[in-house]
Amino acid sequence: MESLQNLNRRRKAVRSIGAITKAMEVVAAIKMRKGEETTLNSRPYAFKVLDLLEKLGRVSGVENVFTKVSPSAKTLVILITSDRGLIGAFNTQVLRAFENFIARDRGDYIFAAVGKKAESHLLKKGFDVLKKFYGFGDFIKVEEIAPLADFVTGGFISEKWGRVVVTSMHFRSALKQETIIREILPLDFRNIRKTILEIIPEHGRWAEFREKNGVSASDREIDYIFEPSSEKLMENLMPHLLRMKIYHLVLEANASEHAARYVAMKSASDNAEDLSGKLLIQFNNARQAAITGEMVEMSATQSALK
Amino acid sequence: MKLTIYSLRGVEFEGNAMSFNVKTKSGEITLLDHHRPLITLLEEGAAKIGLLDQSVRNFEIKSGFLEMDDHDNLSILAD
Repeated sequence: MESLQNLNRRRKAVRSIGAITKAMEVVAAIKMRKGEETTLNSRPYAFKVLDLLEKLGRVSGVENVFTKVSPSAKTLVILITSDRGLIGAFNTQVLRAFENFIARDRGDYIFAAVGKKAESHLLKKGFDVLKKFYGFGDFIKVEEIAPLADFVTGGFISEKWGRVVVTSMHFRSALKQETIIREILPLDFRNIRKTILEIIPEHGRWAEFREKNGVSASDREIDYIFEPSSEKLMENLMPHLLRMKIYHLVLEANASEHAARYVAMKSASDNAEDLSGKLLIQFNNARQAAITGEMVEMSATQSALK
Repeated sequence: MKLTIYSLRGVEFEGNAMSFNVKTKSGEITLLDHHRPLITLLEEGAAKIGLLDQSVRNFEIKSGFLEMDDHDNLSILAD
């Protein structure tokens, strides 16, 4: 049996690890709640943005640079992960989805990393990382996403790449997140409807949006008046809508990250608690065995002296 | 008409309105029921929502977009 001191030391170590994971669990829970709130609140806006993009796509004669398809061009792959670890299988899942995509798609790629884990993974695999973005982790504002959005749209306009694909995590609920691979550029207006239906949850608070804005919408072309002019409007509207789309993707990834961390930390502190309980029992057993041993010795000595 | 104002903080206003007055890039406009479908850019200023009971509600807008569709739905994307 292990010595008492050893057992005690181990139990203390497990307990202090438990205290740390407990603290991280609480922090993650708060961040998760806040992140979830931001994400859910911004959803109606995001739906409307996609809806508007789709309607504009049906308007004939509205051409813009973002719909241009160039098959030979390179593909920019944006990999969105977390900055920090201790998050369970979150990053692994995203990275696996990314690997699968690369293996299946076989294109000519340029990579951009959002989050430190994404960057280190890309470097480990020997890919060049054209640009990296850190610190999108917690509560991000639209302005903070601007460098990423400008980088994506700028490169597309100057024809550095002809396609942009994002791999990230989509927040379905606190317990369920799933990886998504979404092509955000070139804009394919027919795919937007699919995206909307993907984002809108099937049940719960936002489900009504499905009927209101989803399937029932007609495919007719609406005869819009554009003010000041359709070109001018597109110039303003398109980058903005794209930025919102990217912002929303990052928000979803953040909410998922915190939810995943919360779950990971919760099971870590539960395990620590279990283990510390077991160690305490072992410790008590060992102590009791020592006491019994001493008692036996004492009574043996006493009877020997008689 | 049915007016919905979306922002990143959520849906700011949803309901029926008589009129909607707002500053756009090409001047101040007021939209009434069954306006022709329109998409335009909004400028900074106060938007006035004329409600059904004749009262007026103000709404601060920094920038954004306005869309009127062909089913009398007016949507504002406000930043």
